[in-house]
Amino acid sequence: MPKRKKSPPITKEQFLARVMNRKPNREKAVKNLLEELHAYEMKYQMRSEFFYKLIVGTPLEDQPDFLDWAMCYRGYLQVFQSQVMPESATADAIAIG
Amino acid sequence: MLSDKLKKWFSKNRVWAIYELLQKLPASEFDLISALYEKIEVAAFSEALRLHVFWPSLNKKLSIREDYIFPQTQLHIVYYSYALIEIGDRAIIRADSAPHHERDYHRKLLTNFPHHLHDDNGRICSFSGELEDFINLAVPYVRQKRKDLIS
Repeated sequence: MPKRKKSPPITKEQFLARVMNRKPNREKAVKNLLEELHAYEMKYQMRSEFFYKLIVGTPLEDQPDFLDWAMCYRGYLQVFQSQVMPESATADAIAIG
Repeated sequence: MLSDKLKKWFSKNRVWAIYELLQKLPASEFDLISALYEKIEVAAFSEALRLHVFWPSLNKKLSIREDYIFPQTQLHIVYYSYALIEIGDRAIIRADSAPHHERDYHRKLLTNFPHHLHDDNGRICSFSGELEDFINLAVPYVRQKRKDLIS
């Protein structure tokens, strides 16, 4: 049996601190989403836009790949939406305070 | 609308909660922690988490997908899809919140519509909607295979 590669033990505090020290990389996030969408488009020979209009909300959606594809597409749209919508500084202040 | 920084703050707490739940399963055969850092950033941008935990030697992977909204100052899961998958993409068990089933395979109303589980025979069952409950259901399948490999 192959030896397991275990993640190093880490406390919640260490984990959260490391996360916040990382610089956000929106381009990489978009690239990952696009790669995933592309894989589904190749597999089912359908553009994501058409898939979303045709399948989502119908009983056909209840397949693992289609549920995942729909969620991935919504995430992709969300990334672009968040680029054009202004952020609320007030909400930040409430949450942090 | 919350800033990416705040979404990241909420996302990281959710991801940590998921990481703690995953401790019930055999350790991932890949560096899960490093993968999680990246997933948090994507979650903050896309308001969605997509995480796959692989056990190649067990021929299995766990797929966790959640769509979030951030009403006011909290993270709320609006859609999810959890699946324990055998390599080759056959789902062993899976659960989701797509509103396509009202009744279980006994024709009884689902107790927590729209949450439902597709069991290992593909039958629709009631489900709580909680990831913890899904992981509890997944544990025997992962441990069983491991036992098989050892014996």
